[in-house]
Amino acid sequence: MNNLQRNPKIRWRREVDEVCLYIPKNREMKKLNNVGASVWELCDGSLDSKEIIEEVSKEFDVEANEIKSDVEDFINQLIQLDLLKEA
Amino acid sequence: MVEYTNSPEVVSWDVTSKCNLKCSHCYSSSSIENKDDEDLTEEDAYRLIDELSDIGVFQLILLGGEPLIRKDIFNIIDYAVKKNLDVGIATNGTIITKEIAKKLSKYNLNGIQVSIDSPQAHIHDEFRSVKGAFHKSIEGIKTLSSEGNRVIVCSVISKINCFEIENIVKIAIDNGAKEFRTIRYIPSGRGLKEFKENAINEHEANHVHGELLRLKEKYEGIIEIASDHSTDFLENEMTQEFCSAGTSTCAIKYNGNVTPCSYINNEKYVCGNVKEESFFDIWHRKTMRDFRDVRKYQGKCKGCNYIQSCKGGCRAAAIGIHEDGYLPDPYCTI
Repeated sequence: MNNLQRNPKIRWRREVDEVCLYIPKNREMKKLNNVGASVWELCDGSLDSKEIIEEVSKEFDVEANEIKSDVEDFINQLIQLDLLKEA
Repeated sequence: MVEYTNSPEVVSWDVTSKCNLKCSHCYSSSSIENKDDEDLTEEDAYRLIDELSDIGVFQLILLGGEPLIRKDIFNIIDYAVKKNLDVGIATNGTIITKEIAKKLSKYNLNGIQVSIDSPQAHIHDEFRSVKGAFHKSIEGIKTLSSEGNRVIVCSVISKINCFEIENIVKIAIDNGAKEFRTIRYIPSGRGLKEFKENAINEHEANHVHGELLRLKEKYEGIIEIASDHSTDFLENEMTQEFCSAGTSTCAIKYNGNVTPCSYINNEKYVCGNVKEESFFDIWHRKTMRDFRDVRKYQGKCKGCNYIQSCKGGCRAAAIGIHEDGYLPDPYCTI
C-alpha cells in the first residue's frame, strides 16, 4: 500500500481524546476515538499503513501484530468513505 | 461533569433582529420596526468569523430576523466561505429575486432554509402576520432551487400544521426543495405569548413522530426528511440526546451576546458578548456548561431515569416557561 493522505476537503480538529471530522459534501460530522485519532493524524502523506501500524503500536505500547488487522480495517473503511486516499 | 467540545461544531448567528415579517412564533421578536444599531458591524463580523475559523468551528448558520435584509450580507457570506466555514442561512424567502438566488448559488451553501407553516396560504400568512407572505415564500423556494441552491423547507410544528405535514412536504417537492425538516414550537420571544394555544400535546407529538418516519420512507430519494428529535422526545427507543446546545453548538445574538442556543433570550443565560471578549473564552465559561449540568436539574427531572439520555430535553423551552433552566421541559410527558 502507498502512503496514506487525508482527503484535503475534510475539515477536522483534535479534541482531548478524539478527532472531530466534518464532511462538507453531506454535512456530516464524525468522531474518531483515541486510537482512530492517532491513525488519522499520522495520515499526512508521509507514511504507509505498515509504518502507521508501527507508530500506533509504539504510542499505545502494544505489539504491532496485535493491532495490525484492526488498523488495516479502519484504514480501509476511511478509504471507502473517501476520507483517506493513497498518495 | 458536562462533556463538551473544545470549540463548538456549529455556531448560529442572528445577523440582525430586523425582519419584514412579524411571525407569531419568532424567538427573537423580530420585526421591521426593530432598530439595527446594535447589530454587529461588518468589521465585528469579520473579526468574529476569523476567530470561528481559527478555533475550528465547522458550520456557521446565519439567522435573524431576516438575514437578507442586511446590506452587507453577501460580504459576510463571502468572507465566511473564504475562511472555510460551511455556511447555511435561514430566510423567510419573501425577498428572494433571481439575482439574489444566483448570487447565493455561487457560494454552494450547505443549505438555505425557508419556513412554511401551513400548506394553506391564509393560515401561513396569519402566522406570519403579513398577507401574501405564503406566495412570496413559495416563489422564493422555487427561484432559489432553480438556481441550484440546496433549499430546506422547515416547519415549526404547532397545532396549525401537525396534521398537514405531508401537504407541506409535497409543496417542498413541487418547488424543488432538497430537504424537509421540523422544529418544535419553542416558548421564546414572541412565541412565548401564544405557546399554550400553539404547542402540540402528547397525542399530536406521537402522530408527528410517526408521520415523519412514514414520509421519510415514502419520499426516499425524492426529498430528504431530516430525523428530528424534537417530536420523539422521550420515546422509548431514543438512544441519543437531541440537543447539543452548550456542548457542541451555541448561538450569537444580533447584538453580540452569546447564549447556548438561539432560542434563549433570558439575560441570566448570556455567557458573554463578542464585541467585548473572545468567543473562545465565552465558550469555555462556566455559565455555558452549567445550564447543561443534569445534576442541578430540579422538579421531575431530578432523579428521573431518562435524564442521561434526554439531558432534560429543550432547555430553551424550560427557560421560556419557568425562567429557570434547571426545571423540566414543558413538552415532557413523563
